[in-house]
Amino acid sequence: MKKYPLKLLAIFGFLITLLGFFNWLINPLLLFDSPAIDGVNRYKTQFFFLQHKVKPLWAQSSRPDGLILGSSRAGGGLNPDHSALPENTFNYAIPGIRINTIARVYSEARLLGDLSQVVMTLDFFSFNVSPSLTQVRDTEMFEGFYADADGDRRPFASLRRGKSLLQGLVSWQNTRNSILTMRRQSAIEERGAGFFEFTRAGNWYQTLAKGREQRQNFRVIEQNYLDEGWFPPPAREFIFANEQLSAFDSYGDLLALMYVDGVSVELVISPLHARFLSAIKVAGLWEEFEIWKRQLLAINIAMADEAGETPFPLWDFADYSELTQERIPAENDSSTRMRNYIDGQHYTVELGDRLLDRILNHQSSEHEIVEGFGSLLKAESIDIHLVRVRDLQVEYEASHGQELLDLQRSVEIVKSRNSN
Amino acid sequence: MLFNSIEFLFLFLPVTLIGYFLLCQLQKAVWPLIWLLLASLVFYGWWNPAYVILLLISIVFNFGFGKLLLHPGSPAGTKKHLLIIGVVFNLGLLGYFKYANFFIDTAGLIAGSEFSSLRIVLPLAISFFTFQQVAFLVDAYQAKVKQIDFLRYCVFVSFFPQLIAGPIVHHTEIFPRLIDSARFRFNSSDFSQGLSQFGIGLFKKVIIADSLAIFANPIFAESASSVGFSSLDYTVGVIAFGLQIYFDFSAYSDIAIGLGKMFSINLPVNFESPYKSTSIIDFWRRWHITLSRFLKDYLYIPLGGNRRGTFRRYCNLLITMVLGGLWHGAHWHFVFWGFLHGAFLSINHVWRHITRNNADQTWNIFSTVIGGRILTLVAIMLSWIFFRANSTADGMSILMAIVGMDSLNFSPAYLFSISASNLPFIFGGLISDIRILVFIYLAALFMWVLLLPNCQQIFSGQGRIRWQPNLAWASGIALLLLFSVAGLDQAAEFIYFQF
Repeated sequence: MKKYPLKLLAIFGFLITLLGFFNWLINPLLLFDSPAIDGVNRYKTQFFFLQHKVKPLWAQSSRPDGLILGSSRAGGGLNPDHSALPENTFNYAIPGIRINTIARVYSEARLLGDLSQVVMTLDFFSFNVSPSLTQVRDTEMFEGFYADADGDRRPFASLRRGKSLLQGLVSWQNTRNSILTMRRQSAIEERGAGFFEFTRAGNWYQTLAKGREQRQNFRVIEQNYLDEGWFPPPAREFIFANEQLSAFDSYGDLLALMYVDGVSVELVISPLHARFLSAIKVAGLWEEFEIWKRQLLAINIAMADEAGETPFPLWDFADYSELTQERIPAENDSSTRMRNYIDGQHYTVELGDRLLDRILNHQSSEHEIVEGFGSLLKAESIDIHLVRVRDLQVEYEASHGQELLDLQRSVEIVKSRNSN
Repeated sequence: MLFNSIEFLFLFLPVTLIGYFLLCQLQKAVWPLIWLLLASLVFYGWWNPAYVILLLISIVFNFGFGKLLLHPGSPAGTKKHLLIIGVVFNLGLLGYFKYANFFIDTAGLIAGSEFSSLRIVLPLAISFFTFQQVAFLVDAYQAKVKQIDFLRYCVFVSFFPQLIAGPIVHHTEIFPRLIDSARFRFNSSDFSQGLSQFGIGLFKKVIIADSLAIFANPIFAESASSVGFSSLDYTVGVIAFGLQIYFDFSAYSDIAIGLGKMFSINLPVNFESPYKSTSIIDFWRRWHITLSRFLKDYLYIPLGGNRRGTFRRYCNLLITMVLGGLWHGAHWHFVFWGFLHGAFLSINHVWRHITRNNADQTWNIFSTVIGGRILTLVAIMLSWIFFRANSTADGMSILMAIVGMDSLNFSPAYLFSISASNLPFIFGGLISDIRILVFIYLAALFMWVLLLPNCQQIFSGQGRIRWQPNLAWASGIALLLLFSVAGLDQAAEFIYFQF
């Protein structure tokens, strides 16, 4: 009888160590410094949609003074090692994130160190509070170690961090991630959206699968957005506020906090490809898109006035330029790759670097300045700006009739799928 | 702090156990008792440190009244007044924190206007430590309490394994152990049993009960009515909740008893295979046994019990069960659930009275198996609808949807919620059809609750499966612990924690 508890605890200890070793080795969420083995765990296939769980751990180690906020567009496009950014910049972008969760991320990050520079990218979809956005609901489970839901500092941050790491080793959820990571290694270079290589600074590099047509990639992403949050109302719709949540209130509260913190902030409307801008129009949301831009500007000015500060620069890259109108490879062309875009919403690091050059006034020897890429929004000129964008859209659509037809087909497909 | 949390398992429990047994070496009971008290206050304060003060006020007040009630020189009339003040204080505290908004809302409903609610946070465990202390005061008044001292009284009320969700311990079950200084030492036999029962309980909670929530939660969600669930979804969801609450409470009872046993403190049995009941009367002798005992001894009997005629008996039964329902939560659907059980018990008593002289063997078998087990189980399952629903009206809608039997297929929305769980991942290789998987899983769990022995039988050596301190059992329990610890990232709190 005396040895029974010892035996029990010893067997339990052995089993849990074994499980922990397995999860450490496969390391599906990049929590540990275990080796990357070809065919076993090189590609972290489960990581992309679990970043809201992992990034608080990385950010805590990094204690950044520069910060990139936003969705997957910023995550894959903005390089935290860009020379115009502070040396220790962390890319805290999270896929599918909504503005209220971005506010939570900022609340967490500001408690980590002395932030001097923030680049916050703003995406139209992040302001949709429709409950039909399943992917967004997941990221709303973001929970940092330092800040509570109100942004106040919580005690025992190290304890929570230790708990997270322990669960990374011995949870079934992570064991499931390990098994799926192993299973999905072989086909990832050949199929679908390809693979992602993640860095501990928070950004990633996406490589499309070998056989993937880039045009198809545009279609898939467009249809996902139409499908998830837009079409058809009332089950799927685009709304800025509901009974529980107002996206603009969250945005205003976030800016107010940033003004109080005295941090330098650049607000950036993501550089969407011209085809995706047409997708917004075809979906009947262009009016909302313009209202959104106006509100971003108005709230920024109002919050600056309240704080007695100069408004943060607000840049609009969802515009028409040589870069955002880059030609999409033709049907059946699976070998040509675009320089600036992965799909209509996600841009490459090359375009991201140009964006950072522009907003941070950085002279780059690699890129020349492209006219029309990024406009500073101001109260006195926003009307003219929006009219200009509308005119350029008419021009683009007139010269890209096939793209427009293709888009309309996508809309019909989604509409009929979701109506049934 | 939750029993099913990393901080409890890897920090609080080991530190508390090691500290306790080290202090036992000092050969003075006072040090391990102080340690247990401090640990229990930390355990309680983990949720909200401010409410430790409320717990301490309640303890000090009740101890003071207990002392006065036990004072040999106090006249009987004074003692009665003291008891009334003591009970009113306890019920007042419970009433304010748990029922104030319920009464305000109800008054508003009657008056036809809306009164603004108070911002009150319900302190954890208040229903449990209030009842425990009310029982203590009544027993002190009736001179059933022999001796008390402040430290032991504090441990009696706050002992962490039973503080949050019972068992509602009677002082006679704990005091003798706390007084016996010879038992303040490490007892390998108790520790082994306690650890094993704890492991079984943890497995039931983390792996079984929480997985059942996946089937039950969608149909009870506030948005369920707009989703378009089918009759089959509702039926399966209700059965799943019946099993979920069974395993959840069974798990909590096993964990509490197991933890107590590790300290060589025997907590009373609170749960004894209630779905094996042959009647509703039998059910209430097996489900939340210590609450039933409290309600019987301190409510039903003082109301007159069965001593004042048949009509009064059934009235007393209904009042007791309605208040028992209200004890679970300040909502009308709990009151209705209590009323249903009061009605079931009354019908059960009437039925027993009618059939008491029937000697027909066939009839008795039929009555026990069909009328007894099956009907009891159906009645319990249907009553759970009102226990779990957000309102009585929601409960009625779910009941109507089940009775309506409009579709014998799962809806796509329900299948989608299940497919998001880990079950298809775990069993996907064996059973690809998710519908078959659901039926097999629920049927297997029903077999468990109806056929397998419970922990009391296993650990007392009375069941077909008997615990023995050997390598096979150590390996089995270690495996259960592994499954449970690895499932902690998905763990939810115990259902009875909210009461």
